[in-house]
Amino acid sequence: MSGEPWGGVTDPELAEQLAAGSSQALEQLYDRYAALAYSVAMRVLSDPGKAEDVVQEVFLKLWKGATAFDASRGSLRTWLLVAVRNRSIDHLRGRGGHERFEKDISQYAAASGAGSDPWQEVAQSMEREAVRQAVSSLPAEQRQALELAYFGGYTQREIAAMISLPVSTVKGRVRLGLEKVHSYLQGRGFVDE
Amino acid sequence: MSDHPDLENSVVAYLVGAAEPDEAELMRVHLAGCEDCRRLVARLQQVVDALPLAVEELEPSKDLKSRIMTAATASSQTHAPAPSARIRSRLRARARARWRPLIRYPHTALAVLAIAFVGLGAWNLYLNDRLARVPTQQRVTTTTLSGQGQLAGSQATVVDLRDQGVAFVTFRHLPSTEAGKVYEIWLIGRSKIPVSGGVFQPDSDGTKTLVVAVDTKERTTIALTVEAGPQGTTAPTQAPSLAGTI
Ligand SMILES: [Zn+2]
Repeated sequence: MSGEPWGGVTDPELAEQLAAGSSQALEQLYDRYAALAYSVAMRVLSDPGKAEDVVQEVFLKLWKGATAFDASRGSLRTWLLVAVRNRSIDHLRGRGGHERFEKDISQYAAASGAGSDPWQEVAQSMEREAVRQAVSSLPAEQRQALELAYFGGYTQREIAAMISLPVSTVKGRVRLGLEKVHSYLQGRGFVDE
Repeated sequence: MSDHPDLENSVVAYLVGAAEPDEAELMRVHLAGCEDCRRLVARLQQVVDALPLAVEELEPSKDLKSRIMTAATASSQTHAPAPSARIRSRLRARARARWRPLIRYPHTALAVLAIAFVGLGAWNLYLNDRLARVPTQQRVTTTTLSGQGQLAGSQATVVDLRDQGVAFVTFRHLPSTEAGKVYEIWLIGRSKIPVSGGVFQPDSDGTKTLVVAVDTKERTTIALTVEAGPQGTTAPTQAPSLAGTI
């Protein structure tokens, strides 16, 4: 590998090479997203060993099932990070504690996956910074509700019990928090509508 | 509806994964009938998908990469290669070889091929190019499979281009899956072990055309199950409601 982390290949191209069985593509995918994937797993699990197990599991899942991923329509990064978050929560809470809203892989918007490689890298790091800013600028109670649900894997009733407030208040805080992150990201052109 | 703002908040909590199973079921039913809430989901889903980007970045240990690469290399020896990879490499190999002329149902085959070209990605151009040069003859067999149980009324037409190592499978009258579920297609060859051929959702009219890799010499069983989305599973978790051998 050269010192250029993106190797001149866009995510959709990488997904296509992966589907064609290229182990070099898998290596490139690792260089591109493993640290981020590991960080997401650590955020949920707080255990380096378990977090690495989840990252390995998800990369291998993508490797074995790469044909199911429609590169022309999907964002590889989104798929990967959502899968890491979901598997981490499964490890943490055991299956069946609560149910997730899950989309078909092909429904992942191509928005953050396309573009030439230098621009892709710049755009993605700008987006990451914007999401961090948006979440950290939330009022503490909204951020807490959102983080307990999304990264903690707690259900709304569990969160309500934890903070001794009605379930409707928890839902309201989650909604407000997400709406604020949405308008922050929308104002910077990272999400639609 | 006076309780709609509350319902919207419940839908959003469901979207971030905070709903208990009973409430999740209510939300699925509500979403199926509420256009406003589906729009809300479409808008905020982008934000939920971006949340993992908010984490502080850490580095995994140095040897994780070699562990993953070793496991991947090992698994590619025991697992059948992904269909599209096999299709591509076979098609490329065929490009160098001479086309074998033996057609029986040219019109059917071309009609199904034409359907299949909608949304099949980068190698469409390549296939189109191949098709343009298809001589008048090519061996093709067509099989119709019927669903049972939850897929009673559904059908699949399989156009088997055995010499090419591929078959085109067109599903019709497929009901849409419940939220969080996907259809997964399985190919069972000589090893008797079902190998996933990918996951999909039918189009709004209940149709879907897929290209799958088939063994050029052995009979292949094609089966369809409903599995947890978005990725499906590595082995079927239920008896297929639609299956047949070609
Ligand atoms: Zn509604």
